[in-house]
Amino acid sequence: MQQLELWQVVVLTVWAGLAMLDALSFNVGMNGIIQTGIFTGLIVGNPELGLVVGGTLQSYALGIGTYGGASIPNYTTAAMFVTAIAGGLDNVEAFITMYGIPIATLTIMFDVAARFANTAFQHLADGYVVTGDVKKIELMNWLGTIPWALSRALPVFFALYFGPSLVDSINKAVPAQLVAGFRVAGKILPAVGFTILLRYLPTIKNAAYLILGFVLVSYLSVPVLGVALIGAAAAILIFKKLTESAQGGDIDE
Amino acid sequence: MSKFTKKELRALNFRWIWQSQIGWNYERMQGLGYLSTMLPVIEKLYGNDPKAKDHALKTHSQFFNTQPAMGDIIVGMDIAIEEVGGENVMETVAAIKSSLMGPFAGIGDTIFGVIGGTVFGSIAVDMAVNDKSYIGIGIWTIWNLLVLFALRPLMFNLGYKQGVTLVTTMAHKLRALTEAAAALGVMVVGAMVSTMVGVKFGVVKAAGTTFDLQALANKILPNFGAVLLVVLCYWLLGKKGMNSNKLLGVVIAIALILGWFKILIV
Repeated sequence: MQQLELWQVVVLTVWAGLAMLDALSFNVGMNGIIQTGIFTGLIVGNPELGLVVGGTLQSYALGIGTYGGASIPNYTTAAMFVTAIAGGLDNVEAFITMYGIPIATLTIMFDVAARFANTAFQHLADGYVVTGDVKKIELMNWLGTIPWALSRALPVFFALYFGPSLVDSINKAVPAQLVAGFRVAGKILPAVGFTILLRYLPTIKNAAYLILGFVLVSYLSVPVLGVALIGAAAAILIFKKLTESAQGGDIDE
Repeated sequence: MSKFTKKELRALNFRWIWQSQIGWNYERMQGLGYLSTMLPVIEKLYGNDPKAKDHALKTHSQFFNTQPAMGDIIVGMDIAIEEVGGENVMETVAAIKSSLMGPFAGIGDTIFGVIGGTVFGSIAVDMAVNDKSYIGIGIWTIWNLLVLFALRPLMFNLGYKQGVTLVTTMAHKLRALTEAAAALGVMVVGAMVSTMVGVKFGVVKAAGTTFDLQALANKILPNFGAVLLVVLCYWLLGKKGMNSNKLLGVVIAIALILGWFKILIV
């Protein structure tokens, strides 16, 4: 078990808050699950651990987007926590799910709280709309950064500050069979994200591409990047076909 | 005839990128961000006319929510229309905003969610977990930077230059692009099911005989377990009362139970 220094907790807490603001605006990827894992790894001296932890947790989230402002499991905080505590432990694979999933789902409420807290600034802004105070309206919008940043910084701080000792005692109590179960969970959980995505996309209509992607990897061992390039080629052809048929007018159809 | 310099327009685009969601709330969603983005426009166009300014402030306080990058187009259009029409077009602008935000969100989520989140995400995950390589996440980061510094300004300019006509000229292209992105996304998911969903069966003893379940599965199909699980999840998620968080719980339960009895192994 790796105990964290206070400076490490502080740096990671600040990162978590700023990363959320990036996710809302510029989206360069600070809040990305893998990126956060790597950053945390750098802070605790094990970037490769962060890469793998972040990559594994990212695999659970591949199909999940915050469509329409829905709150989704916060795997970013989870990646930070697991990377921070897992240094020097065996069975990291099991811990990624054993601690990552509860953290990711428990911290959903912080996201909800931030979105709710900002309604207060909205109401204040409504008042300034009536008086026409432009500067104050903008200030109310900016103040929204505080609940947003806290919604990620607070759970990270508490998890990193109190988590390690808690994890220590849990680890002693958990039977080996359950740890094995969590390792299995870690391997099969990506199915959830993919399914969500398949439900979101017109999958039935594109079943041929689904089969093609599967066969290219399962039978022909093409790397994922290669499949993506073949997919891009198919996408270009589809785009061309659809736009050309439009220019041809209704006669073609 | 343009009332805004290139520099001012770039600043307005930046305002939308930074401010669109920092004040996101359940009541108006991106509404506060939209209003705040438009403040310099409102000051410039209606600053000397209190009644028009009031009208504009109230119009832009409306509920608004779309995919942020697609929002660039809408903001660009809005500025172009108000620049010419002034307060008289306020109702038009309100109608354009509320009629475009929904379809644009659908298109944007498919294009940016699928290409960014799924395609680049899958490549990054594959390289990170299977090869311990940073290259995949590097590629994804380059894509993010391209979106921020090239694509989003481009979309804003498109909206500003073409105005409402864009909706009619681009509608078909956007739909084609969405369909193309969907096919690409589905194909990558097909690939990722093979590499990332690791369903491996154990050896089970029953009625005095041992069954090597994995050997059996391999005879049917490579990655048979993964396919089975995804089909099961897909079916479950279509059920009434089922949602993604419940599905997460179901899959963890399956793993813990079958993992306990070594029917599933790592």
